[in-house]
Amino acid sequence: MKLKRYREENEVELIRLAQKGDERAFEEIINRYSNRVINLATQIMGSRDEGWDVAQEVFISIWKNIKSFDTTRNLYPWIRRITINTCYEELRRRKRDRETSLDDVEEEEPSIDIPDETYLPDDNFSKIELKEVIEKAFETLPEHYRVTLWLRVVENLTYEEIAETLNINIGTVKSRINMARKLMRDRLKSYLEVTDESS
Amino acid sequence: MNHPSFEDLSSFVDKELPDWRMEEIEKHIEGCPACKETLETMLLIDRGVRESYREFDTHTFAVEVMEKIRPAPVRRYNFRLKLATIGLAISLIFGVSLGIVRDLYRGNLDRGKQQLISQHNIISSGDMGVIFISSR
Repeated sequence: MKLKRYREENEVELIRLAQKGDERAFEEIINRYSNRVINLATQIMGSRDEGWDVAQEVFISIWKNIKSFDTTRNLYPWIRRITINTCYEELRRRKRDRETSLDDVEEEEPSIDIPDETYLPDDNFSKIELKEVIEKAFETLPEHYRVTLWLRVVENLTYEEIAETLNINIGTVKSRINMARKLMRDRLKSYLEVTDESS
Repeated sequence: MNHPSFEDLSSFVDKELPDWRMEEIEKHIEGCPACKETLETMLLIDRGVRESYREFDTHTFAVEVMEKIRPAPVRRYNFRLKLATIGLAISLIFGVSLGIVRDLYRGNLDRGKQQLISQHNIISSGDMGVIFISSR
C-alpha cells in the first residue's frame, strides 16, 4: 500500500493492518498520536528529552501489544493509559535506583514532586512575556498537580475520566486541580503585581 | 450570596458543578469584581497551559521508533556472517577429518605392506635357515 493511502486510512483499518504486522500502518499511528504522547510524557517526566525517550518506549510497547487491542474501542485512551503507566513505571524505577545509592541521592537534583518556589527571580518578571511566566510556573508545579491539570485543560478530560485514568478518586482530582490553579495564581500574582506597578 | 470558594470557582471553570450551582456562581460573578478577577486569572492560567503544548518533529520520532521496532539490517548481516562462519568451520573440520582418515588409511596400508614384506623376509630367511640346516 502507498504511503498516501495510509495517511487517508481510518483509524480502525490502520489498527487492523498494524495487528497483522503492517509496519507502515503502525508508523502512521505514530504520526497521528506522537505529539500528544510526547507532550503528556513531558509533563510527567518533567523534561522534553525524557518525554521524547519515554514516548518511544510507549510506542514500542503499543507495537508489542497491538494484537490484544479491541478495535471497537477508541485507540487514544488506550495509548494515554500506556503512556501514563510507562512514565510512572520509569519514575518508580528511578526512585528505586536513587534509594539504592545514597551518593546519587545527594548528587541528583530534587525530586520533581518538590515544588520549586524559586523558579524565577522577581526582578526579571516584568521583562518576560506572560506566556513564558505561565509556562515556567506550570513546569515547576509538583508533578501530580501538573499532570492532573494537563489532563483537564489540554486533554479535555472530565474529573471522572481523569480519576479513571490516574486511578484516583474524583475528590482527589478536584483538589489537585484546585491546588494546581492556586499555586499557579500565587506565582502569577507576583508577576502581575510587578507589571501593574511598572505600567 | 457569599463569595464562592476558590475550589468552587475552579470547578465552575471546568463545568463540574450541578446546574443550579453553576447558575448561582454565574450570577454572583456578574456583580463581584473580585471573583471575576479570580475567574479571569484561572482562565488565563488554562490558556497558558494549553499554549505550552508543543509540536514535535513527529517524522523523526516515528523513524526512531521504527528503527527500534524493525530488526536491524546489521543484525541480519551478522546472522548471515555467523552462518557462513559456522559453515566454513564445519567444512574445515570435515576436510581435516577426511584428510586424517585418509592418511590413517594410507598409513595402515603402508604398515601392512611393510609387515607383509618383513614377514616375507622372515619366511625367506627361515627358508634359508631350513636350506642352511638341511644343507649341513
